[in-house]
Amino acid sequence: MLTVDLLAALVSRLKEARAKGRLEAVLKQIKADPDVSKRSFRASGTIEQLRDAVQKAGEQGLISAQDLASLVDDVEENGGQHIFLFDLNALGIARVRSQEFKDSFQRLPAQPTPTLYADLPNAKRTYYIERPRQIVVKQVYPAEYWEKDEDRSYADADERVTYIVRKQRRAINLLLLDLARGQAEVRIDRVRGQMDDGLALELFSQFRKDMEEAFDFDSLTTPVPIWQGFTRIVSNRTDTYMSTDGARDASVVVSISNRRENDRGTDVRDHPSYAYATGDYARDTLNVYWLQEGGEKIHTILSRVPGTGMGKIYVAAKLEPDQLTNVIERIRQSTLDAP
Amino acid sequence: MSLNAFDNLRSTHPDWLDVIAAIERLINRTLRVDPHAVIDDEIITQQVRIDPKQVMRLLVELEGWHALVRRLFWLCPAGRGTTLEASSLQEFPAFIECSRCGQEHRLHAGDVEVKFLPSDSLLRDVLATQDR
Repeated sequence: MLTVDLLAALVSRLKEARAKGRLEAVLKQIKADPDVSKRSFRASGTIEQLRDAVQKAGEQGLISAQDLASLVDDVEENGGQHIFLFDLNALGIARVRSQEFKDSFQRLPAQPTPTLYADLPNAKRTYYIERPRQIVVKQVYPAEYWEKDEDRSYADADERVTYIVRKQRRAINLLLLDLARGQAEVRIDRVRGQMDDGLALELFSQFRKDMEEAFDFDSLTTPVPIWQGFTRIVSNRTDTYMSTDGARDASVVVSISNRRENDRGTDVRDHPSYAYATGDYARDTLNVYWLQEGGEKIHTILSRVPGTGMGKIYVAAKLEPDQLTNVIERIRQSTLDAP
Repeated sequence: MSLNAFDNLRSTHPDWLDVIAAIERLINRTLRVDPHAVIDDEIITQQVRIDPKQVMRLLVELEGWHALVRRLFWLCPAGRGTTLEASSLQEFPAFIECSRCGQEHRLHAGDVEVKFLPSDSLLRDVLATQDR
C-alpha cells in the first residue's frame, strides 16, 4: 500500500537521483490510457507536485507502491556506479545455485517499506532477489566518506584552514549473477558526486568482505580484463565517440583532447595527428562515449585497477536498465574479441 | 573567394589588407577541416606572426560583424581539454564533475579561457566558398 511515509521516501529517492523526468514519463504513460481522465492528476511540475500527482494516481488505483518502488530500483541500480566484471567458474555457478547461498541473505520484503527506501538506512542490509534472467544480491547501507567543507574552509593573509568533514548517505551495492551465461557483475555506488577511485575500491573491498562467507570471489570468479579490449574499442568507430585519449608506447606518452565540451567537438580520432589506435599503444584508462540508437551517447571511463587483474567501468549518469546492460555487453564483447 | 565578414574588415581597415587576408586564410582553412574548431587568437598569432593586440582587435571586430561568437571555456585542470562551455562566467556552476577526468573541479577564473567560435553565418560562408 502506498502510504504517505512510503510515498515520501520513494519520491525522495527519485529526487536525490535527479530522476524527476523518469517519474514524469511514468505518469504520462498512465495518462495516455484513454480511460484515465486527463485532469485526474498532473504529469509534470516540481517534485512536490509530482508527489501529489502520484498520491492521486495511487488513490485511483493507477499506480501501486510496487510500481513506484520498481522505478526507484531501476534508477538506483543503473548508473552512478563503478562496475567490475567477472566470469563465473563451474564452482561459482554451483555455489550460486546452492541453498546455502540463498540462505546467506535476507529475503526482500514482499512489499516495499519506508525503511527499505529510507534517506539514510539505519543499518547495512543485504538481500537475495531472483529476477527473470538474474540472481541479484543487493546491499543497502549508509556509506561514509570525507569531504572538504567549502563553506567553512578559508584562506586569508595569515591563515589557511581546511575543514574535512565526515558525510553519510544512502548507497546501494549489487552483485548481479547470470548463471546461463556464467557472468557476474558488481556495481558499487559512487556515493560521491565525482569519480573517487580510492573510495570505490575501498567500498568494493568491504563488499567482498561482507560477501566472503557466502561467495568467495577469488575461488569462484575470474575478473574480466577489460583493458585488453581498449585497443579494439578505440578502433571501433561505429559504436564509440572519444573526446579525449591518452596512451603510451615504448618511446612517448601522448595525450589528446578536443577543445569543445562533452561530445560537442570532433572525435579526437578524426584529428589528422591521431595515430594511437594501433596495438602499439597501451592505456590505463579509456574515456569513451557509447553511441545509442537515436544519437544519444553514454559516457564511461574504463580503467585498469593496478595490481589486481580487475578492470573498472565508471558510469556517472543514471541510465535505463537496458542502456547500461547494452554498454556493458559491448565492453565485454570488446574484451572477448581482443587479439 | 573572400568571406563576407572579412570584406567588412577590409573596408574598415584598408591599411591592414595583408593581415586580414592572412587571418581569413587561416580561419577558412581551420573551419574547412573542423567546423567545430575553436578560433584561438594565440594560434593565429603564432602561425601568422602578427601583433597579438592587432589579432585580438580584428577578432573582436569579427564578433561585431556576427562572424564570430565569444565563448568561455572552463578547462579541465588535469589537462584534458574543455570540461564546460558557456557564454558568460555566471552560467558556470561553482563545482562540476568533469567528464574528461571524472574529478570534481571548483570554478577558478584561472581555469577559464575566452576564445571564439564561428557563427552559423560564417560557417555557411566557409562552406559556400568550399563549394565554389
